[in-house]
Amino acid sequence: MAAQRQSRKLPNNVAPEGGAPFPDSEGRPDVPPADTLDIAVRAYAEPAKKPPATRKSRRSAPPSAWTLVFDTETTIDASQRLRIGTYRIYEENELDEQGIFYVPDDPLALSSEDIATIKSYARRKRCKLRTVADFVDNVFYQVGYHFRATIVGFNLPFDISRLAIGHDAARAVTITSKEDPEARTTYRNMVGGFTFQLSQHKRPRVLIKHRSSKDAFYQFTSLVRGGRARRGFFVDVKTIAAALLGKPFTLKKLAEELEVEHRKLQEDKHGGPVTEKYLDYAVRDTLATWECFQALRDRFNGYQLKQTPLHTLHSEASLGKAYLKQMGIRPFMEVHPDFPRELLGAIMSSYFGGRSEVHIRRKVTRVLYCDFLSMYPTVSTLMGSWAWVRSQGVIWDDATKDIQALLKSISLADLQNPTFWPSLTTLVQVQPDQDIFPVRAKYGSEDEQYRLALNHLTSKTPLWFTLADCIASTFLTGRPPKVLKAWRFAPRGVQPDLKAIDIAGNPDYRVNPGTEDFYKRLIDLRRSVQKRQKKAKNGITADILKNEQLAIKNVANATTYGIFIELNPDEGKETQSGTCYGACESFPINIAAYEQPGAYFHPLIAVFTTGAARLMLATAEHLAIAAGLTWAFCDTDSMALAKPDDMPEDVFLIKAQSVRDWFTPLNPYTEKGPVFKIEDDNFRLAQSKVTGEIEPLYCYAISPKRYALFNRDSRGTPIIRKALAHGLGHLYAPLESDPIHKNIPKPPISLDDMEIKGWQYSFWYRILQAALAGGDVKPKIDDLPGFKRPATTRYGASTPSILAWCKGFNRGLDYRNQIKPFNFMLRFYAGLILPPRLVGEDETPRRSRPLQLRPIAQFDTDVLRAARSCRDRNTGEHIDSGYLSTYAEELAPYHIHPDSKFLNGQYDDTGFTQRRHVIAGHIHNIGKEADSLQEQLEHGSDPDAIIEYGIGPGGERITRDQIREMLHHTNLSRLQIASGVSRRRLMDVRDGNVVPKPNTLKKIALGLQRMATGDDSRRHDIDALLKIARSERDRIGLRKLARFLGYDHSTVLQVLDGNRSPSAKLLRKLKMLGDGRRI
Amino acid sequence: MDERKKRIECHKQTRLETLMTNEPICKTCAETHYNCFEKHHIAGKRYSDEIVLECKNCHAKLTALQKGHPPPTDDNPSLEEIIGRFLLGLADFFELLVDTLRKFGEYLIEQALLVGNGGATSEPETAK
Repeated sequence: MAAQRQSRKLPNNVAPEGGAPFPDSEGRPDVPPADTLDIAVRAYAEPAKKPPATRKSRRSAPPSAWTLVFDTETTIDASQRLRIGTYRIYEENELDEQGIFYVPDDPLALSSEDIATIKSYARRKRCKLRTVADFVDNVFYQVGYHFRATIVGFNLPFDISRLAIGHDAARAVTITSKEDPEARTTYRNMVGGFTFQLSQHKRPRVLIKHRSSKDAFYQFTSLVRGGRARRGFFVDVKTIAAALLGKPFTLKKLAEELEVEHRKLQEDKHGGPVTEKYLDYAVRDTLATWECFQALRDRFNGYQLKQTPLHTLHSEASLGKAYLKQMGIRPFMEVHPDFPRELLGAIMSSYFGGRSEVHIRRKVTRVLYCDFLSMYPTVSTLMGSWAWVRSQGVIWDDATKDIQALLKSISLADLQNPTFWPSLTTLVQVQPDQDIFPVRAKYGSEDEQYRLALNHLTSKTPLWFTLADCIASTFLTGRPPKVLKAWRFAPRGVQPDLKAIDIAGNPDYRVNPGTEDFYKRLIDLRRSVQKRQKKAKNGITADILKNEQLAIKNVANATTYGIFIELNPDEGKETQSGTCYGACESFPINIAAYEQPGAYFHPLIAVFTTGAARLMLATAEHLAIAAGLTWAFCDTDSMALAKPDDMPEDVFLIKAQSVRDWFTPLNPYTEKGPVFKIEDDNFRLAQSKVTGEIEPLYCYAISPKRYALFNRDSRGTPIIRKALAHGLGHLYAPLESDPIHKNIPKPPISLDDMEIKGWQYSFWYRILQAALAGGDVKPKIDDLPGFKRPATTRYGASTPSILAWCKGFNRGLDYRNQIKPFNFMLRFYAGLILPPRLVGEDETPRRSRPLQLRPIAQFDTDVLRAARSCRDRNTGEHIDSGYLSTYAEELAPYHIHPDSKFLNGQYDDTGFTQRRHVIAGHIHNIGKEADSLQEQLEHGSDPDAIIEYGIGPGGERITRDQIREMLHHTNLSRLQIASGVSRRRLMDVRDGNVVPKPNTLKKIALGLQRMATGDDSRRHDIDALLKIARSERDRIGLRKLARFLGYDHSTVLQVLDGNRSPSAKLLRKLKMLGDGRRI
Repeated sequence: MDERKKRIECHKQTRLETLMTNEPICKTCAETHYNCFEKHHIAGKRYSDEIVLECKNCHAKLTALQKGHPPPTDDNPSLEEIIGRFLLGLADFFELLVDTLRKFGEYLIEQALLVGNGGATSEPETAK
């Protein structure tokens, strides 16, 4: 650990024009040398012209009593074309018609024998038999559209897209008002989705916009462009199950969970000849879907959320909003519309999510793994957040002096007093000077996204943080931050006419929002239901109680935090002017995508709740250090307290339990008990059941969310208790049967309970084996089942832009044979290739740049066959399967995954990570970070996925003229390496020949800063990369390595031997090695 | 379902969509057939968007009563006039309702007597 390194005084204390110099940063022994990094804060942006308040509010009729349930079966080739479908029509709960539909004229889908089997089956089972066109016109449109039925399916986008005979990308719709022809409104809410033509006749098309693997938006279009449309009522059982039950389900698992009468049958082989068994399976699927829908619908109706129809339920958050609506809670932006936008910007800039950090990296450590009891509801109850939700607005006053005094005198005893927590609703503007605050930055040069970490922060620009973050910094640094301003907020009054509601529709669980603390009541109720559930002797009663306690838990989670920070990007096409409000002064912007606040947007609640949760974690960290312990990792609401090597086991347990017990007085609920709970993973298992006896638990953490917890048997081998699939989940199981390697012991609890797959378990086991062997032993993974196959990701063509990658495959094919929207596709992984050297017109050989391949293939159950036909998604050109990385190659660097958020987090680093010291460079104002995360995981990161509002006044660090001046006194060769900007370009900037782009300026400023500070961390990066390159040289030879890097082997040798500094270009290529790219 | 029933159902659902409810009921006479309904503007169309579902007969009666309201005072009615028109509309509504309430009250008492005497029940003419 490099904690003892002496910090240097920052030499480049450059002041912006007219601005104050950097704060006086006296070196402190516990603060490492500084890095200048651009940081990002969330901002609130508003267009100058307010969007129209939706169409004239018109109460619409609910769906009729009709329900159409259908399901489709397809071929398993790349086209995934429709073969047959089954449907059921219900009026209320009475079956009106059930039937089968089939494709009559596609021999590739159904043979004449298949059709004969279907006809005979339908006759025998008294199912109505229709062709697909008949089904579309006389069932789908007749019942689904004209009867205003609820259209139900499981994974509905896939099923509807199977019926399609054509599709287009959805477009914006402009509506001209009848009263005022000049007034036009453009709706873009379905842009990014597909519109499907299902019928040969003139019928409304169906619009589907994919939102996530669990959710989509649907509607019928209008027959007249811009005219009024009957939108239809679509319910995907997958969506409502996730919303009501709090986790995703397959149809099979859902039918089991809901204990419906008819479960999903074991399928006959998909794609084979149609048999009676296969038809039974298809018919049963629709019946199981109906019964699951019925069970979920009845459960939801029992909740008596009459103002929220079932088809509008998209997630747990929808459920939370439905409860607030039912209580008559009016949104903050409605009761307090004139809340100052500058203040809203300051509030948004202080918003950060949960901490996910690793403190002891790649070292087996004895831990006690603890988590906080319902973290967000608990801190919400402690702070009295419910009073904010039901308030008629917000009042605030200047509390600068009070907060300055408080931070000087704050003690742990204050925090341990529950009456202190309501006073945390204060926003503080500070001048960070080596304080420890949440910092959102692109820490590593390879980072394309901002990441959050609690680091030392110095900034010339004052920044806003919650009081909770200021207290956390005070405890962690031992000194208060410099407070410039503090606003203390309080709720104003109580909204009138709030209605009592029955949670989960049970009158025993009545909550009166006007007089009770909703969050406290929820957790109290849940605890009492859990107790009754444990005591219940009757299985049915226990099941009912289990459902009730889960329903309460879902409501608590859905109403405490997420819905208050809901901002939805508006997918605009044309830019419009507006204002961005952030940490500094507001500034004008001109962008296309503004974020629209969600229905219950109330950022104060979200900011204070997440701040208080971080304070809980920081307090646990502080208490652990004070007790002589340390910690291995933390993740939002949990922390693994770690035993120092020299501490006896019994002393560790006593001290760790004292940390746990410290939080117990903060329990705000009726039933008292620990708030910081010891997790079940710490206790011995007997026949897969948890006993009350502590068994030593060990942790091996690589980087945030990449850790495993395990016990050790008498021989010291690992028994995995918990391992995360983070960084693995995007990969398809290497083998369909997903076996565990024969030499690896079976897990002590089921893989389902552990929430990982068999191959992921085997992989983690081998990592732990290598870690326990010590030294630099690499995990042996190439013998794991299927790990020599190409690494594969399965994804859906869910947006027009993703489908566009398939143009190469679709060229020249008729619609049926094409890859269509929502088809499954396969993605492979490949390293860089060096194209052959090109000879220019002057016959001078030109060095080619390595190409990053992006192989995709049509779906095929035989992955190896698919790999042989893969193409580059950008160029459409065929890629030889020899270029594809195997699972073993792709996952080879997993166990050394770097964590650039902290020092000592590079590839080969082990042991304690150390907080970095960040000097804030530019301050970027950004929008929501989490948008399209899933898509990015499947298709690679997309730096444009985040909305950047820009750098406002006060957010800049250094001017162009200052940089130009500094270039005159700088060694440009060194700066070239430090900044990654070519020497030629640096000279042009210095001599005023070019006007550098902002990005180039940023790189140069960063390079200058690195040179001035000596930048140990960068040197450290280079050393780590050279170490990897040397090991590659030993493995494959110098010449092969040099060929891969595109350099002469003698140059590479000089660099590897330390006789020559690597150029910026060579460093970039070395980084590809560091990222685990295969040669 | 045969074609005739399908056509009827389509028409029914279109009507219900227009009425913005699946269970329409006349507030005056308790009629429930979906095809008998019209929207009645309580204060008059010029004065307010507030509507109530009424069966065609009751709507005609209410519209007749509305003819007795004072003539419009101005092209842009004041708030006072709008409230006044609304109250007059409510008065019309109660005027019609009085008759129904009286008949229904008498019916319930009659039923109570019949039950007390061990007799059978029957529906009144107006209650549906």
